[in-house]
Amino acid sequence: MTNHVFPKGALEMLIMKVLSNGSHHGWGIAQKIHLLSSEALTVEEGSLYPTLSRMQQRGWIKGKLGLSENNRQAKYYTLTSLGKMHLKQEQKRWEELAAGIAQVLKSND
Amino acid sequence: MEFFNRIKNSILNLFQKKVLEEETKEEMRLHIEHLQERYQSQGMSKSEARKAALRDFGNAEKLKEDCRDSWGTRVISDLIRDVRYSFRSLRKNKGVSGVVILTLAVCIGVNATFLSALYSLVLKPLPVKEPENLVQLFNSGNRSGSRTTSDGYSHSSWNQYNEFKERSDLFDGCALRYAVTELMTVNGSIRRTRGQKVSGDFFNLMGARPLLGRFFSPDECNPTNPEKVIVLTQTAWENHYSANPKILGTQIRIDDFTDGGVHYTVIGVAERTIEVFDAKALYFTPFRFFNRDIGNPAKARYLFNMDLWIRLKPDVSRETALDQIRSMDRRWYEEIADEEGRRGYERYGLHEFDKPHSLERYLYLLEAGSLLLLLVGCFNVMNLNLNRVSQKGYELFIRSALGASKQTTRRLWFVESFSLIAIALGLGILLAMVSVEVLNHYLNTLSPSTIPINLDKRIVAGSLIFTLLLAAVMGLLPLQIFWRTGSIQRDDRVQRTVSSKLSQRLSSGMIIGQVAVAFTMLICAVMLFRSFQKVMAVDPGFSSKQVVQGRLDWSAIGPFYKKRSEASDLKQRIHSTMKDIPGVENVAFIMSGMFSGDLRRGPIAFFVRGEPPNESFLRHGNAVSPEFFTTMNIPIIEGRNFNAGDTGRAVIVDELFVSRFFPDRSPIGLEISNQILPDGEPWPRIVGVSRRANIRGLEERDDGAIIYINRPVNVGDWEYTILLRSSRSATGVIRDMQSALSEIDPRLALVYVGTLDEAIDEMLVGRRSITLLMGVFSLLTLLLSLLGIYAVIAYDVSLRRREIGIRSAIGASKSTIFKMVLNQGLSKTVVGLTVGILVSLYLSRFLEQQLFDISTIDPGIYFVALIVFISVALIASFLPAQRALRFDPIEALRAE
Repeated sequence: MTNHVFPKGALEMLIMKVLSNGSHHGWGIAQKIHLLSSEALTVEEGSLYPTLSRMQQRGWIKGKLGLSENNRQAKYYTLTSLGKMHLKQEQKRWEELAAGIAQVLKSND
Repeated sequence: MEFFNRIKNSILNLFQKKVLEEETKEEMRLHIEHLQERYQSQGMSKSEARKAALRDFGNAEKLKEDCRDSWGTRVISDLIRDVRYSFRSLRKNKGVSGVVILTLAVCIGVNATFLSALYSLVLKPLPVKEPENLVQLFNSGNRSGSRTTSDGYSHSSWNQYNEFKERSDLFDGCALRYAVTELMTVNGSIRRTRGQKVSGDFFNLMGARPLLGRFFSPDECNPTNPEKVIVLTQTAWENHYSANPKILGTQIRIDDFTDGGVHYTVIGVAERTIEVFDAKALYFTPFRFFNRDIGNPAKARYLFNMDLWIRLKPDVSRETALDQIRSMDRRWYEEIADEEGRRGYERYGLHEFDKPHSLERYLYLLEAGSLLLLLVGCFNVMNLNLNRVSQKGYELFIRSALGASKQTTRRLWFVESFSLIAIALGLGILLAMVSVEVLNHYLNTLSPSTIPINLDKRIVAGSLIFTLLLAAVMGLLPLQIFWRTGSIQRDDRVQRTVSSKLSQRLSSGMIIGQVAVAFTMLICAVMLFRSFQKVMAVDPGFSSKQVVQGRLDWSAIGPFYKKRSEASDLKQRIHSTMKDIPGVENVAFIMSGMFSGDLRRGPIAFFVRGEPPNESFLRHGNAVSPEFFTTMNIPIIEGRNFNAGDTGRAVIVDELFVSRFFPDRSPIGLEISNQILPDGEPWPRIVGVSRRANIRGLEERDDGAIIYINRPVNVGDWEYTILLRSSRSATGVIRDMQSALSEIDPRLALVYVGTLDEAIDEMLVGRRSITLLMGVFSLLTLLLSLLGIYAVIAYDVSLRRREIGIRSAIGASKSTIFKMVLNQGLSKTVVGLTVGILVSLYLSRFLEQQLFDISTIDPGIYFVALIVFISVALIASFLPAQRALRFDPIEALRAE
């Protein structure tokens, strides 16, 4: 299990993607990313919480205290409509970028 | 969108910081618990799992800090911290902070007050429609040689109004306004009130709107219309009729002597802005004066004190308009005027628009004074701040060594200066609010019809901007100087090196500047004070003790005693009733009020019977009853006093008259008149010469000879002042006088009443208040420069500890060191004084009109001011010099 330094904007995008399927708390988001990436990606606590906090400040996500599955206090995050819009743009931008990079890497020149 | 979201969230976060903190803590705790559970499920013991989880999670505090960074509350909480820090630092430096705050508060307060006064009395445009095209016409005379501001200006007349309205093609309209004092019955009691007569077009010309009802119709301005109407001012309506909305159509009783009216129907209430023309007037009635004299086109052009307001067409310049007025008046002079009319033209035939406010000169003087005060205050504050930076040099050095950026230091310093100045601003505005009230109190005496001053919002806003600028300059300039010169030298003597050449030069420049300014103020204040003393020392020439006076005017007598015989009966009754008041020794009547100087003003020609006409001008005449000289204790030095047998043709002249016109012969027996009388008609004859009495006012001492014409008590008059000399206390006599008058007729209300001493006092109110204010200003600037000199010298001494130590170690005597420090202060003061003398010599000429018996280059005054100043400089440098003496050379050297 290696720790990753995500490119700028990537972690935010992943978080928004996870949240687009329902609300989660911080730990849950990290686990979900870990699982969905087939355990290829690990989100470090040191970058997760400040990022969540920053995204909340920008109005992409909203946080609210609630009770977790085993009756524990947890802060649940949900995606806002602004966040949904932003996710769409980011996803498109990312796909173009990834495709471009892949194209260059595949070429034999 | 996102930007606004961030700002909005930052502000929201500020209020829910606690919740955010709590949430962050909770979610981190949960994360650690999950980690711990995972490790436990992998087979670790509980405590081992906990340890591993905590290790994995890392520094939770740093994580929290990173989260806080993104809340956007940092800037604000930093600011709060800075403000706290700056208050702590200001508290530590109580002395310096106190001085800075007080200095600035006084400067800001004084300036805000006088700027507000200047603005609302002089600079503010009239609150009427298009004030830039509106002018008031004055028929001005030659003002040379006259002291009083009212002299030399005559207002306009019905005659001019009519002609301009009909014939001028340059005006969009004109309107007449005329203030009257009448008896109005308010809520059942008769009281003297001020009203205004206006021509029908007045409201329209000013663009005023009725608050209720309407203004005058042309028909209501027709003199033959028996229906009389009135418009109340908003203030009168609110104060006397409790803003009754049903006031329209009700009747008000006014004994109007010009129009003969009694019952007036209220047709409207005018909005408040129109009260700017006369703040004390309660109502408007249509101008329909139908007096023979006013109608006489050959005479009446310059005879009446009516305000003529003219609205110029937009593209017409004032000069063009004045030219047309002058040519119309010239034509009138050549074609229509009779002899009396021509005399008026010769006296008032110059025309001007808009006369300066009577207080304008004073206000500019006071504002100039307060600006100078501000200048000195700023010098001082800058200087203190320069020293503060220098003292903090070590701290600043350590800060920058520890990694504080210039940005942070600058912010901190700005916040510190700003908090200081904000307190000063608050106090200053408070001070201004109080002093505006005080000023309004004086204004009520000096210029009663002016509306009270308000502390202007724009001036407060201006002060705020000024304060911010000052904070920026005050906070940042010394830092800049410090950085340029001080902190680069990274050695332990940083504290000394900051006192660089540049900052030294700057602070001695400021000392010189403020000494010069303060000296100029002192010169002005001393000159005004000496003038005041000289005025007070003028011998009035009569004895005012034990004399009370009360004046009856047209509005009290005119409407009810129309015939001269009725007025004569009344006067005789008053005379005998006054005589019967216990303790009253003498009763006299005088036509022009004491110290009023308003009747028979200007040069009056006189002729001596049997002698060729000459160019002699008599300045003032007054008609007095025979007992006048006895009542006033004015000695007759030649000839005899009036006696009961004298007719109206007996004349007494004063000694000034004799020395001006008959220096080498006795005037007794000469017959004089203001015109050459036809043969057979008896001429007035001079029967006596009195000692000079300054009955027009103390400052009119040399202003014009006075001729007293006998006015027997049985000659009817509609206007006179009653003078009573008695052995009793004034209050009792005044009470008896008023009750005796109302027994004769309850409508006999006195215009004013009081002792002669009070009248003299009141006459000096203007001079006294300006002298007092300038004195206070000058004292303040003096105090500020004392502080300024002290601060600079004291600081200099503290920097030169080591040098002084070495000097005394190698044998400098105490007196040498003492002199050295004193010299420091004195040399700067002397340079400042030299500049100050030159500035004062130049500026004092603007004060000339305010001076009495004082030359603007009076060496005595300069000498006194110099002595005062040198003592101030000595006191300011004495304390630091004393301290320098106490330096122990060994201590001083070891301190390094």
